Amino acid sequence: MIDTTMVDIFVAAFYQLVEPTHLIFLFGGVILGLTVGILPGLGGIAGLSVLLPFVFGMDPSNALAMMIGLLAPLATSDTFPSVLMGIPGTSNSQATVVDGFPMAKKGEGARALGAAFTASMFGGILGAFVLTVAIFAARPVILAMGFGEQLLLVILALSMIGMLTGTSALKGLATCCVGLLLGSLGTAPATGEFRLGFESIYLSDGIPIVIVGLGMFAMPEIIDVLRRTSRISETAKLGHGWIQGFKDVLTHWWIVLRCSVLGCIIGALPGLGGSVVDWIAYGHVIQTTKNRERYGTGDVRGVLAPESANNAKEGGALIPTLLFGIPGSGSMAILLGGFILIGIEPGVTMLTQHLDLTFTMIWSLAIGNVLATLLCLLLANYVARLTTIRYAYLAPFMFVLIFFAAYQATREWADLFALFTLGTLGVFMKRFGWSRPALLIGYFLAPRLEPTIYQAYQVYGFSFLERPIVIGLVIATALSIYAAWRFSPNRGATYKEEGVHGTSGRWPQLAFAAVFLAFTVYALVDSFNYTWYGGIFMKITASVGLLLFAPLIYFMVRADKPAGVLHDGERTLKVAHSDYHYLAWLLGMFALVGLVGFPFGCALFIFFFMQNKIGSAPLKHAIMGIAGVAFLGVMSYFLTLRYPEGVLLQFFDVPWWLGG
Amino acid sequence: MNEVTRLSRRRLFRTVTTLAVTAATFGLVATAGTSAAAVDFSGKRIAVIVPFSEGGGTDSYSRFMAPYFEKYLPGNPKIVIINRPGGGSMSGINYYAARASQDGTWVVALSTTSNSNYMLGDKRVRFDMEDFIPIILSPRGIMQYVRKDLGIQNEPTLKAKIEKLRSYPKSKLVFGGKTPTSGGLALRTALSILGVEVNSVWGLGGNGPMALGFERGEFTVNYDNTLSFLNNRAHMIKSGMAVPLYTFGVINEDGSISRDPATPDVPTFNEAYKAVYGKEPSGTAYEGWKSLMAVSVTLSKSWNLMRGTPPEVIEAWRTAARKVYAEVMKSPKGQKVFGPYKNIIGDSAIKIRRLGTTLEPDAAKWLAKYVKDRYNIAVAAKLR
Repeated sequence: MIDTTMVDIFVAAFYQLVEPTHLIFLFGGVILGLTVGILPGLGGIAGLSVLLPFVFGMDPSNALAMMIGLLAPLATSDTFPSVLMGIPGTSNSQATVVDGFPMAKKGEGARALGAAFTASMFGGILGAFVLTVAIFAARPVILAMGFGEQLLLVILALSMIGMLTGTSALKGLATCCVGLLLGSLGTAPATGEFRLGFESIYLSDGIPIVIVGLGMFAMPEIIDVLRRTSRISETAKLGHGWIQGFKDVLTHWWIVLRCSVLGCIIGALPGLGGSVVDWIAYGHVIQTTKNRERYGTGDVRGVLAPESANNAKEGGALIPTLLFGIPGSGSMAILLGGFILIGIEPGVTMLTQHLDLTFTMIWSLAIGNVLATLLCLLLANYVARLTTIRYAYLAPFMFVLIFFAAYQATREWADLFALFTLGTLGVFMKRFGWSRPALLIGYFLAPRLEPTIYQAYQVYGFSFLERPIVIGLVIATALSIYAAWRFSPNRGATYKEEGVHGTSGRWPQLAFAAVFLAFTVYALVDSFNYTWYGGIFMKITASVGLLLFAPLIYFMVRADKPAGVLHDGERTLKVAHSDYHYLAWLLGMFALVGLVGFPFGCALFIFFFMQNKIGSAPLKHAIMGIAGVAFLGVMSYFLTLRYPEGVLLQFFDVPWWLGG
Repeated sequence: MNEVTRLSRRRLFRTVTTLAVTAATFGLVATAGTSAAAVDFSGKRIAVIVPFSEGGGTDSYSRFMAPYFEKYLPGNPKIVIINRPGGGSMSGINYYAARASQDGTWVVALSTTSNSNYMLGDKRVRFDMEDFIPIILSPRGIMQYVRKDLGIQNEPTLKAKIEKLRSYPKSKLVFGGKTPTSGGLALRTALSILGVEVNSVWGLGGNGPMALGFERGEFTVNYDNTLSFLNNRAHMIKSGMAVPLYTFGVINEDGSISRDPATPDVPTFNEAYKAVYGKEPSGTAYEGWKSLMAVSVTLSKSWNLMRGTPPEVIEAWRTAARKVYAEVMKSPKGQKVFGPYKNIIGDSAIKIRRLGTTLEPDAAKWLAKYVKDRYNIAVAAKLR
């Protein structure tokens, strides 16, 4: 199939790309991609929508170089906030937080970054390579993935939760059910009925994924660090820098290679969507390696796996995007919009008529990844210094940033409340030891699991179970569940009374478990309001949830010695301020935003927070606040974003990009 | 405090300031009064609210037109696209209805989804479609096609083709759509009117996944807008896998339906009806279908201003739209975006839109029963 003309076009595309104009566009895209990747919660969607107005009327190959250049570094630079601050930079690097952030706390931030960037580059280049070869052979593979195969893929991904349940499998699985139920909030896929939404328009689409991610990880981590320490890096050191991280990649080359391949495949196959790729890679590495105890406490392998996979994913995700016009992820959807503006139609013509453009994209992806890695490595040691800054300076900015990112989701006040609510939930889940990844994965997968169940059943009945790929996936799922059970690090573990798993004072955690239980019961009751197809998924999920909650709560109530089901982080924490203290600060921020609009409200919040937590230095802190307004104004201007308005602002003629 | 009083207060504040300034500058009061007559957007910023995400059809349509409108609107204003996705486009439109000013600087982009949700009485609607004044209405045809495994390509006449489809059990005719009340409703009612019932599979993400399921052979019946059928499904047409059945045609200004100009050799649904029943289509079921057809084809994409905008401002927009349309149709890319469909610019667009935003009472009853009987879902359509 690959003949000499193809090789010619391939080489010609390379020469075209290394022309100065192309390189400048590619470089411009890479810089923008790095920037939006570093800012938590912003991802390819925000970056590409900044580019879209400029794409119109551009030369197609320049425009593509720029757009792909933007996508290539995202999964590299989003590692900065994930590792250094515990805030997922994009939804693709949530799993990186689990081991990356503890590394930063131990003073190994630079090492974690070095390892992540090198692994990212490897994954990205492998993704581009796979794209080059596979794009000619991928059509039949993608066409072989029917609804039955897609369903089993989702179930296989779900089984990875077994590795991420925390100290109690029962508790982890129950959390997953809650996640699945939260994910079925919104429009029922089979009937279009609005579920669990309390008649709210906002909830008719479900809660935006980016907000769930920020709520589960960012908000609890910021509050936790604020309470515990004065700096992120507990040692106030950076460690040996990125050379050590580079060596880690060489030591664990086999993990990096496997996870890159995994990332490519998941990106290319329909059904899963790119957002879970990091968790699947993370689950996979735990299942397949020895010495599992250190995962979650700063094991470099836990950084390498998701980072190599999430960069490799882009190459894979381009395959269905280019061949079928079906976006493999949210940013791919906007890339498709960009294609229309440039005037190219995805489809088989991308392999014939437009092969030159396809190769331009592949080269841009490869070169973009290398450029991004070099830039990130250059920056790593400087940016990592953030972890040695006094946290009271960083925290207010980070709160502002995550609420800004949340507001990107639908640009309504409700986004801010949704983040606050889910963040509060995340704070308590962290305190009481409920697996946040399990909730998140359930939430991601519910909207994929539910329709594929119907579709597989409606098209095939039960005969889809006879299809060969389905059988293969069933076996893989069985192995994955077996691994979760066999290699559980908690088997036979014993706990101390004075630790977090102690028995005394268990009322708060029982109350929280009751909240989850009540939600599950409510979902079950609510499910009877809908038609058969609209309610059955919720009925089954809620029933399974109740079957898990019953023994769980029984064990929690009756445990007479320290046990895995019990967990209360407050038991070992002796600090000045409670979680509630900081949640109240956030409510105060809302009040300010409501009065004077988002940019000025945030500025005042930054000012007051620093005055209170650091000590009086009005001029310095006022400058910090103004810096906050300036940042938000600039972002608003470029993203054509209107902020929530304040009650007081209506009396003044404030420019729209400052909340007017 | 509600949106209206808040806005009017702000406007009042601005007016008071303006008045104070003008009064201070003695003698200029008179000129301030007359300058309203000549429409000029120079230095203004025009917001186009797109109630969908970046990258979608309506977004691309709007982003494509924006630079042309910047060129032709008096004063060359800057046009910014503001995406407010969510709630089946209802959130963004609600926002527009509550917030838009009436000076021609706020535009809302609407699509089939927006109009269809409105027509079917979506509970999330907090606006009146009649409040939006169409500037440009861009239709797009719909093509209905089946897989070649069904063998209708071997039948000589349209009547024989439909009869062949009718002879199949429901399990052979599988259609994959989003939800029972989404775009595919026009396809299913059309087939039902011809006596063909399909087995529907729900929860598909959009036209892309629907076509992929069709290509895998899991679905045997599908539809696309005619332009994307010709462009994106070209390989399926070439291999003979996708067999065109009929198009929905286009509605002319006098209300009649003629063949889709993008595929003039494919018959319309009206022709299929005539072939099967031997008479011109009529009846409540047909009227109901015609509204669904109008919303899918005629109301495909549009730009609108807020009611209360001064007539001269509306006219300035429409003049610009005519120039934009004329120039766009000269470029190959423009022809690809707009296709050979006649765009509607002017007051006639308001009347034509009603065809797809409201239903005759009898047709509404028929449609409600159709949806209730088959999918057990209640709809309360907007009556004409």
